[in-house]
Amino acid sequence: MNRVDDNIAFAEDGGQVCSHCGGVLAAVGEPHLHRALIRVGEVSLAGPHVRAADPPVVDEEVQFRQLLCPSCGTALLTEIAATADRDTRTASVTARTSRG
Amino acid sequence: MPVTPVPGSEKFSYRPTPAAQLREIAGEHVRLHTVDAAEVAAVDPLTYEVVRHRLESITHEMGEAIKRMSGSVIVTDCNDFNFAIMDEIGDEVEIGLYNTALCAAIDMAVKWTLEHRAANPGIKPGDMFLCNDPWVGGGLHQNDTALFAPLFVGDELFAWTGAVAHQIDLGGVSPGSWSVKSTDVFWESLPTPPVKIVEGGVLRSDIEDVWLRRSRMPALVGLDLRAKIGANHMAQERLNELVDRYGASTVKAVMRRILDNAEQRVRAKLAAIPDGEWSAVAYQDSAREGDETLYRIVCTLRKQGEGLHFDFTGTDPQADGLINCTHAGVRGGITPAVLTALCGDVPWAPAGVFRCIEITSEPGTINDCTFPAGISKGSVASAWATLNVVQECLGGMLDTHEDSRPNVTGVCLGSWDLALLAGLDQRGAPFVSMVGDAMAGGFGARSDLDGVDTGGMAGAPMGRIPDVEMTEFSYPMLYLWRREESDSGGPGRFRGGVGGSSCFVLHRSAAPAVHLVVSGGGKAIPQSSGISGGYPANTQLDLAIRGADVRAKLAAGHIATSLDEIVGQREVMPPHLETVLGEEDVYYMAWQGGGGYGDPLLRDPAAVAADLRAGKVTAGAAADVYGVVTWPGSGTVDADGTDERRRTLRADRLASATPRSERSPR
Amino acid sequence: MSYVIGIDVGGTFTDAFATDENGRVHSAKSPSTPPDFEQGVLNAVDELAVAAGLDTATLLRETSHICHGTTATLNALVTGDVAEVGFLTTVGHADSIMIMNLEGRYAGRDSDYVKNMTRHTKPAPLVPRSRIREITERVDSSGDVVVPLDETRATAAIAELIADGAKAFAVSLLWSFLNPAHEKRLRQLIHQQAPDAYVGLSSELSPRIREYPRNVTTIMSTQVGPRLRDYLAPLRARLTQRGFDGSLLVMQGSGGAITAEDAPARAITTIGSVLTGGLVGCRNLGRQLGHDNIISTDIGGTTFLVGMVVDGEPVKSTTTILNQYTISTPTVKVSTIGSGGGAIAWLDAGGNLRVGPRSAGARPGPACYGAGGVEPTVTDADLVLGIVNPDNFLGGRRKLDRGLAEKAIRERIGEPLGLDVEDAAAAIYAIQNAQAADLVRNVVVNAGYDPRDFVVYSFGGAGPVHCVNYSRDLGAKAVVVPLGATAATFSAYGLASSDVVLAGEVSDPANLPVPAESVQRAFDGLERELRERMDSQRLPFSTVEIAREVDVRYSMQLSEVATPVPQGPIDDAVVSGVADTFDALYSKLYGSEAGFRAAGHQLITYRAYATGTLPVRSDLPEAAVGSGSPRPYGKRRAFLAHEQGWQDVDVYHYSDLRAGQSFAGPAVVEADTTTLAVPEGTDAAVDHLGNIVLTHGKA
Repeated sequence: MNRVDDNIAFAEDGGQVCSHCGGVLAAVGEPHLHRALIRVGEVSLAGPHVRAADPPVVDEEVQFRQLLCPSCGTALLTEIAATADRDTRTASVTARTSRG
Repeated sequence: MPVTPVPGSEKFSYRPTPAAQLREIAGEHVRLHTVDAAEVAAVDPLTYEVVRHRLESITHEMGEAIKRMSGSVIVTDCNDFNFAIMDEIGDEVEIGLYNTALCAAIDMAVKWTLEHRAANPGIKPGDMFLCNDPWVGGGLHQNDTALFAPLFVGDELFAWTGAVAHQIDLGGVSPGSWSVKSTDVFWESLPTPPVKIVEGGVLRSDIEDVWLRRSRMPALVGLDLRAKIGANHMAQERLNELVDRYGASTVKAVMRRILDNAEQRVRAKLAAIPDGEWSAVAYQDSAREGDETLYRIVCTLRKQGEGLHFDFTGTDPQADGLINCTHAGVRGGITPAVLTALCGDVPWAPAGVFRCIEITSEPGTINDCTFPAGISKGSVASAWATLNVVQECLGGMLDTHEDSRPNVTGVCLGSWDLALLAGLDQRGAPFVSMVGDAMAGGFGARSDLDGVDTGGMAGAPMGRIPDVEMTEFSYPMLYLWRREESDSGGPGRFRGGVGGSSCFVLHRSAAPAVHLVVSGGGKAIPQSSGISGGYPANTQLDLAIRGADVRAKLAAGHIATSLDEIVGQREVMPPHLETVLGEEDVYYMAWQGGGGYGDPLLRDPAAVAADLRAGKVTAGAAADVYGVVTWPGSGTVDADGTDERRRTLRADRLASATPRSERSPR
Repeated sequence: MSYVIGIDVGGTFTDAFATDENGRVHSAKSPSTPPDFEQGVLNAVDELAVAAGLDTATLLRETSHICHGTTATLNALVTGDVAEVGFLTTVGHADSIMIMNLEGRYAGRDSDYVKNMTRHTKPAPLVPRSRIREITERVDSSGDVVVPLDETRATAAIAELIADGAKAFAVSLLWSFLNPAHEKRLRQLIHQQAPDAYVGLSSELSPRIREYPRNVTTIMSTQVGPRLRDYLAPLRARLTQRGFDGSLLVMQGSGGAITAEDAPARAITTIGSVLTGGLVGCRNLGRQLGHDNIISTDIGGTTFLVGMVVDGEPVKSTTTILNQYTISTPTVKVSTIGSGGGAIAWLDAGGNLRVGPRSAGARPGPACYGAGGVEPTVTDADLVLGIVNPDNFLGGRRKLDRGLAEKAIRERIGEPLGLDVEDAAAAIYAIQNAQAADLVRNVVVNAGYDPRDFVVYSFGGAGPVHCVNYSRDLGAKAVVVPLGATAATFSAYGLASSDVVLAGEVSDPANLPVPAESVQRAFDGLERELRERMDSQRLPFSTVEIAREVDVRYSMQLSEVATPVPQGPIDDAVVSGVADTFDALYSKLYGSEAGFRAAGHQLITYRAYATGTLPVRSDLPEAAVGSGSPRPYGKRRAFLAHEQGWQDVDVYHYSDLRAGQSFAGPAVVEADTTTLAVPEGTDAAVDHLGNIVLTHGKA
């Protein structure tokens, strides 16, 4: 079976599961990472290297966002994005068995 | 105030015309050499390889020649130039290993010339055309100047050669030709559509004068013009030898085969990868000095079977500022990413590769702007951001299959941190200089390897930054430090490459201050995104410390090794600013690293310990982001402590998280 | 009787070459004995004595000097078997060797690597961070002290490094070439705590602007200095034990030798020496044949090396690259452009036939070696094409299995492409020839020269098999295949006939006009230093000559061109003349339209070479003379060139050829060390030294 990425594998039925703990991330037919949890907060959550611009340089709020496996808390997507933007990064991959 | 469209400028807004149509249009006024499918099939493996290798060799020779002949450090060191061999209709067959983004534009200029100049003034043997109009093609902003020439065999137009290089100054309001206050192209260098500057082998002095008249540094621009003319001549000599030896049909057949080959190889790779769709966004903060808008370039990559479709629907409309790029910039953002992701072992024949690519992009958007939007920074703003978002999407695609996974890379050096200084040097002579250090950005992490630390930028496989001593010799500067910056690499299971910082003061300038132009994005939102859960790299930070006590401290035998040690008035730079740097000021610029791959809590703890020892991460990041605990004395990993810390961090994450489905839709 | 001996220590073989005052030469070959190469050297000397009909003690007693080309420094650096070095540098700039000016990500790598950008890596840091200490001090671009040396902190830093196990110290501070005081003081401070520590100062090893390569040069020299010392001292002792009373010299990458006593202090200069012997051999042979402009092509089993001699001197580069690190030591410019006779023929993912850059190397080697290699190589193609003789390859030392060659070619190339074995072999051969021509041409043209102005010298086991074909593509005037007395040990011959050359340089970058006095002062200082060092070599030079040059560039340009400075006192006219010479050189190298005086000139680095010629030199002996045409010993069916395809060709034993004889292709000459293919349309002549000279016949 192929996979989506380092963290997201396909279940037998084509749904998405966490490749580390097997937790269900999206059932068949559900959108990408539908069952992931989301954590948001100050940009500094990304680490000491990401600083909120002071003084601010844009007139929009930006935030730290992270999608997590609901079972093991593995980070599936980590980004700094505009608070107003949803679904900044998505994927939709066809499940496929590997070639011989 | 939004830019008002200019009627009459439509003819210069180019999107490459399909081959058959182009042949028909140009064929009315110039005889185009071609071969049929049978001739292409008839080339034997030996001849194919010998001619192919020769074409590659010629391109390499031309690139090296341009580098040696150029007077521009941006060419020689930053490698912001390239050379291409194209067939009779401008399809690129071989390109050099320099700035690959430029090769997404030079073919456009050739094709436009075939359509619009074949009748009047005509395209004849010994002609060469000059172009720096990014709407037509040739380059990604006005500084990129293309010089391309038709090669005739008998009376048939057989091929084109083309050289393009960034020129140091071509006019406009500010030195270097990008003005941070620009609201439209009329603030900037004048875009010049293709003009026949060499006619029948003779460089036309009148056109050369018109060309150089706009520049603050006409001598250097003239030098580069000759370098490009020379390279085109040399290449055509070599191509003529090749045609004499093997015959025009055979050489053309090989060119066709190279394109077919590149196409087939890329399609084969794509076929092996699962179908899917990946979308991402690249942000840019601010379009010009004083602008506080956040801009988005949105890309959805759809792969079906053997083709790639880059759809930029959702991208912001063009801005009043200097960061827009033309359609050449969309292609210029795609080309380096595709070449590095899919063509590491495939001929770099862009025309063949592009057969696998479809682009949906709306004119009037920030990376496909209409005239007269400002574009002077386009190459390192919207085109660069396009490259980022394309690289992210491609990374997602490649990650799905074990064969393609080795070519995944997180985003490299998310933006160009420009510091341009102008003033009088230590000898009293005027100078203009761009601080090249910022090119040493971190490369994105791979799926099985960290990103290269201070490795460079994604659009140029080579390039270099000057030694500190060369900079201090040439310009009135003294560096307190130039170093890698801990933590600047995006955390991940594999760490993004670190970027670095330079901190310097004015030293022995004949004038008490220098002009400073700052232009760098990635301050609100870091532009080197991570992949597969990987964290982004650092936000960019540029600041001046005014009225600093550095000189007194130096006199007292102390050199600051951190910003905290420098006492003075901190002025954080916005994304664009024109200002000055005085004798009592310190300037600090910290450029970006590369995005990480995978969850940092999954990184091998021994690798984190090694990173700590090597200064790539700080203790704080090791503990809080990577969740690794080490023994205080030895620095070796405390396995139990790490397990527990990581368990805690995961629990903390989950505790502060909510289900996605509970968030209101956009 | 006075002998001079050259010893070339290679990875597989150690070659020795001796020449005496009467022009007699002897050579010997003995397997190398890694990891302690010393024994192989002594074995080669023993074999050489046998070849000369003497016992070892007599030979050594009558030898005035031995010039030794060593791979030890290179191997040490490549394998990482180097001294534990602590690195001291100016505070704020320790990361220079990590950043590597970013070019360390790809420097010296071929285009296949460069294209594969997602897989790039930088090499491991030369010195781990734990062994680097930043020193509080600062000198500026005028050589003025901005921050004095903080000795207290420096002393503490040195103590830490010593406690950590550092046995050697590399010191490289910014602008030290203008003001070395701080570096010298640091050496004193180090010796106060560790009197026996090996210390390398950048201001002595490489006083040239550009701190990144200077740091690298200083560190690497310090890493290998102790190793080289520990290799040369016992070797010297053992040679002395055996009766040697003369000078032991070590070859440097710059094309000249240095005494073994002096070498460890400047170990980095020996780094290119394994490559220079062949090029120096070309220069020396060229002198005897009247060739001033030579393209040297050395094709062995594993590498294809190209170098150039221009106006009678090997072309040098002021930098060299090792393991992606840039070193600022003048070396003769030898480029590795491919993998030689062991280059593998393969089909890429698009089904295209490619040759190299991968190599079957020495092990398992070509399929026909029967040592387990299954991939077809260029040598396998040469065999199938009838060019090399399986029973007389390298003088019969190795028997080749034609069946294995055919099998490899058939299975890997022929069948997939639908070609029979012979056509497949012909395709491999033709691609190798064309590719070799392209790659050689790139080296020559990118250095600014036109191959049509040159003669090609071709040596190494696999060179002469292909040389006519690739040279013709290049447009070279003629090809010389050295086959006389030097053939087996061409590099060792180069070593035996080399001079002692010491180089000194110092950067003092300045825009023209530069006062003549400061130029004079710089050169006076260099000359003084060089004469002192020449004296300390304690060799009976017949002459010592100093040649001067300065690196000049147009302001704003990438790199400098080394421009000769005439002999005699330096006044303003001379300085201005140097700028003119630079303009002419630049114009010649890069095209006349490119020159640009108005941009202004800068003088960057002053350099001088002292050449001490050694008294015992002899010309190569004349070969036995014959007349008319030589007699082939047989004929066989062979494919020598694409244009003619398969033909019956004359086959000669080299030992049957005599000076003064000539013959025409199609022909093959079998020699102990190599095989020469002479296609139809090429004329061959045996010169007075026994070399074969090939030229195009009347069309």
